[in-house]
Amino acid sequence: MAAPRRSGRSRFTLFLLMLLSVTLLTLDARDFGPVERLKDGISAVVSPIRSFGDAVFGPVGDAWQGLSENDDLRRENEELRSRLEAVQGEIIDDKGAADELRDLKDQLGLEARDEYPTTTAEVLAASISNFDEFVLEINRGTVDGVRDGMPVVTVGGLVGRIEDTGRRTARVRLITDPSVSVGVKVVGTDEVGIITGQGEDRPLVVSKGSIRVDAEVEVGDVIATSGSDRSLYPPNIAVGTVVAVEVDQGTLEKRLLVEPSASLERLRFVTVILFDPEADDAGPAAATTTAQGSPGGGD
Amino acid sequence: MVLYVRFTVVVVLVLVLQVELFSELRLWGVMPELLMGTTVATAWAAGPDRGAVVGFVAGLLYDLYLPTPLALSALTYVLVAYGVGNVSAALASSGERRLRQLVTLCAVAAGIMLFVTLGELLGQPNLYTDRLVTIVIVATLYTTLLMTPIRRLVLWALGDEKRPAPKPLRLEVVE
Repeated sequence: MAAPRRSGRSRFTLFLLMLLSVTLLTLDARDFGPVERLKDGISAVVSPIRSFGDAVFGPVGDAWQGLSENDDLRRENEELRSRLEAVQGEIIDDKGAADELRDLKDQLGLEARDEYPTTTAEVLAASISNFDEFVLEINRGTVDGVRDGMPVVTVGGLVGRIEDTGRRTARVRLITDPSVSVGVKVVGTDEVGIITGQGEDRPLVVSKGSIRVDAEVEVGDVIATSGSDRSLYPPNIAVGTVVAVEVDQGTLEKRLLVEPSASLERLRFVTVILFDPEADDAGPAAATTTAQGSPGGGD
Repeated sequence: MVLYVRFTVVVVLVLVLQVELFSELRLWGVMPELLMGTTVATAWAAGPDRGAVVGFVAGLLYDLYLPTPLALSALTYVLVAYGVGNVSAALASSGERRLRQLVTLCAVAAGIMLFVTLGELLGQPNLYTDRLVTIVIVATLYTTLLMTPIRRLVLWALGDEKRPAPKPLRLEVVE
């Protein structure tokens, strides 16, 4: 008789835990307040242990990455050296151009990214899952004015958007994620479209939009956020550079392959733009978040 | 009480190893599923009840750091633990190492597939990808390689509370 009783108890435990899991799944999907607070509370308790673990195991992880990516790093280093020489020559030209651009923006009343409050965040961890490699965890949360949907940038350009904000941490979903779409424009033209990710180490693609087949878009053109109505992103954040132009014969539209301008690998710091599209209807000054931020940021 | 404290220590330790160390020590971009391994080892050594409880707690803690919905891993681990616990209870020769390794292999692979299936049912993106086969194979083998230290941790946590070995079957000849 012992075996059936044991089996019955196991089934009861299974049923209870499954019920609890499904309840939590449902409540989490509805952003139920107490569950969110519970998540924050447990994270706060585990956080110091995790920080200790990071301090202990961090060097091991770095060493492993150094070993496994040695060839890539060497190749990247050589490329960067050659690009540095070219860029140094361009800096002088760019300084003059930047002054002209600032004057033009002042005259036309265009918004600049610097006008929005920002907060710089440290990247705590890259993806810690086998499945979703398009996320980062940062050390800024609701207490810093960070909210879901806010854009995240580095000096290079757009990195992603905030999701699942906790009190002191948040997740960044990278623009390389196929589920992320951003309204963009081709700088210097009237062409607008929607850019989406295609996965890690693959270019972004502008395919859903209105890049007409006769539009004058070429390889090397710069893509930036359009900041159109209902867009989650303010205008004029650099997204990337066009590396290939394909023509879709079915829709008679151009399909643009875009290399992200921000480096999305080995990010250490990012900048969250505290941009609230609804509050921003009256202009950037209406952004209600008040975190003490620093402009810019870097990777 | 000591049992709970020990299991808490083990689960938090494995969580930190998973999140802070093995998320970097990837093979072909894949990391081991240490918390699932802990669940499997507990279910094997202590039965479906304790396995499911440990799996639920381990999964819930892991879920805090994953972009997938809270309790998705917990639900997966509970089901895996229940399966492994019942399989190990049904096998009289549960101490056999090769058999244990085979069950672990199958359980981890099934667990990953179950996680993906449940996630897909909930409409989660980026789970069913073209890397799924690679992930299942590498994560399963990687986890199985690390099962010896995980099992030792679980046995330490259990202390004297290990499940007694099943009684040998007695055959009676009825005339």
